[in-house]
Amino acid sequence: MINNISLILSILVCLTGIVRFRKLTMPFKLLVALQIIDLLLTTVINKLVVSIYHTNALISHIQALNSYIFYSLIYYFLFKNTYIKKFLLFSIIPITAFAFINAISIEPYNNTFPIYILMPTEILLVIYSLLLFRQMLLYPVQVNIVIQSVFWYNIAILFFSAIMFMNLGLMNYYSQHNLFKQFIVYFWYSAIIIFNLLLGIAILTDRKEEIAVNAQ
Amino acid sequence: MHNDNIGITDDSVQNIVLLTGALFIGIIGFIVYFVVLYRNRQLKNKKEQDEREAAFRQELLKTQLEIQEQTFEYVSKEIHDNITQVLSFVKLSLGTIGNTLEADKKAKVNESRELIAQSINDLRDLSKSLSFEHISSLGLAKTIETEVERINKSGLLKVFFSVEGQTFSIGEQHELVLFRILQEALNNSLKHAAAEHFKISLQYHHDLLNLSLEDDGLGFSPGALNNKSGSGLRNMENRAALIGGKATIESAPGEGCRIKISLNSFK
Repeated sequence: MINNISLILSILVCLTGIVRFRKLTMPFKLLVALQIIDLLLTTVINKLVVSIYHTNALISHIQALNSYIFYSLIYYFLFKNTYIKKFLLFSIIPITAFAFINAISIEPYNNTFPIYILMPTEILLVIYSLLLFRQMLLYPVQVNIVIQSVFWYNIAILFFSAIMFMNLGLMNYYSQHNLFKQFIVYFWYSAIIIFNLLLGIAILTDRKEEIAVNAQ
Repeated sequence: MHNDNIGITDDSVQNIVLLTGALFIGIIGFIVYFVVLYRNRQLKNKKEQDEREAAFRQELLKTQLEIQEQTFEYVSKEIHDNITQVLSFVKLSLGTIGNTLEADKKAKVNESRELIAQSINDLRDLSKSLSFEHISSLGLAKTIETEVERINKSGLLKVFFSVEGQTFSIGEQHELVLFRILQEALNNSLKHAAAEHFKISLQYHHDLLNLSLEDDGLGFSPGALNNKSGSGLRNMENRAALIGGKATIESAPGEGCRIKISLNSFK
């Protein structure tokens, strides 16, 4: 039930993004692209992979790397600081290299969840999110924060990246103590639903014209 | 998501759960704190921006006034040192010629001399009205009196002037600004309001100076202050603000216009 709600919401966010694509700024166009890729990965491609490997670990590997690359590029467009921008671009290279090494030798892509990739990338995303909040405080715009797409996007990233740690901790705890695993499934899907809702609001509130007005 | 082995030891599991739980609550707290902080920054930023804009407007107005004063001073000097001198010479020459002419021609020459003399007087008055030096030496009340005499002499408008309280100087610059506001108001009454009467009241109190200007012209709706035609009136408000005063303008169609400038920060 909850996974269907999550799937419907993901589709709705993608459709919203497609409808509003022309009105969106570059970072949010990238966000829509990522959402579409994610949707394909978790639905069509996921079934294909599971039929081959009997596990969706490969999808998790692809998603972990793909998400980091896209989120870094989105942050690249959102940040003003040149050093942060350069760091964001260059960080993609070692993360990508490490993701391949990890998938081949450390956490095999056909049976293991990519924890060694998720941990550093989620930490980096939390840092980017906090840095963007700092930038927002340094350069406040005279637009209500509730209708600022950057705010919603940043909350989504901060929320999801932090929740990822909690989810990993809970998963480990439940599996090691043989507790009722249904709770963790609900917890995880709830987190995804909130995350998608926040991204949906970000896509809905993003407008090219507003950025132009604020830049004047 | 399939994950049976995520590589974390059993002892640390509980701590991770607690820590991440605290982190989750922390995020919500952080977001609330951020929103409040951001709102404060927005308000502070807006205030600073408004202050910068106001300072810029004041500086711009100050520069405009300085340029205007320089122009007035130049025109005043030209009238006084050049035009009136030439006219005086013409008057003298006519006087010399007049003595040699027949009676009827002499009468016409004398008539012309009188007209020139009147023009010289008018131009001298105008020169004084434009000159900053006049206000410096005579003070605001006396300068207004001279201006009132000049306008009344022209017959274009009937101006009444009254002074209440013991006069004192509020500083040359402040007096000049008030005088220019008065001239602007007189000009408006003549040019736009088709007024017949104009009242000027200067009230000196212990630490307060009020300048009240009132005409019986066509008047205007209060909304006119905000459109292009009201720029002269807004200029009066800005000028008053420039010297730390406050101008209030009241008017209604068919009910004339009342302008009151209060100044109490000069002491």
